[in-house]
Amino acid sequence: MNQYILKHTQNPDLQFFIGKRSRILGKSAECDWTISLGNLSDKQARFWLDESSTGFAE
Amino acid sequence: MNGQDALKYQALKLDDLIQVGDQIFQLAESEENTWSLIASDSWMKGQHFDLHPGKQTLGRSAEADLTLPSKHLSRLHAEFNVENNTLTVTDLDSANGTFVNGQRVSRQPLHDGDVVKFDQFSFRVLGPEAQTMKTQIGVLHKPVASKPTVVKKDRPHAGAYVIHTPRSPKVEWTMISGLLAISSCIGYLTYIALQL
Repeated sequence: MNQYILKHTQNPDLQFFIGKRSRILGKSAECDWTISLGNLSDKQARFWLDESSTGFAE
Repeated sequence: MNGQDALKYQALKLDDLIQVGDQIFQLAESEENTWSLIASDSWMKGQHFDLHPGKQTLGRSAEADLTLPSKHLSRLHAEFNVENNTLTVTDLDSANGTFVNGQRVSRQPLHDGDVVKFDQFSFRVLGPEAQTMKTQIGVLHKPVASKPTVVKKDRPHAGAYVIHTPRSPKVEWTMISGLLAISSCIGYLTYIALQL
């Protein structure tokens, strides 16, 4: 199975692995992926791996 | 996404650009070697599951990262954690337990070659070192001295080619050394003849 990552375009060291279980990205410490860059919402977006594709809900 | 407003739900493709707030990410495939599990028995035998950095759960629930349909497994049976290039399995208080190399464990670091078992499902652990070694062995099979050139046969079948490997530098060096030795002998004999 392919492994997909979300890579920050300006900071390629900042990478998040997308798995079957959905992960929430945002600035809140409650998020799976907490980043303090820019003007993100507390819980900005959700990412997960489908059997055939990767999707997110905002 | 890709410069346009995303829908509520949006499927992504490789290389898509996703703007989250004012931060831009790109969807890419991981190039890192990582830990894997290879199913060693049951109907899943031979199936390969990559474990990425972070925590991944295994159980019969659809919420688990790796869902195995068995009534003998707990909903969330065990958790794998890849951290600092090490892999650890933790039993999540399952009813029937997690076994590593035949021993029931509650939390156990795993190594390449270990066998981890949940109910009737056994997996062999494949570490990143083993995967790197596999790649290096592949490289060693390639010719080292010089790249082979591909030339067409004189009377080829359609699309048929033969591989012609150029003479190796070692053979060429041996021939040059031989010629130098013969030249030296001739020069020495000429010198003696002139002295006489």
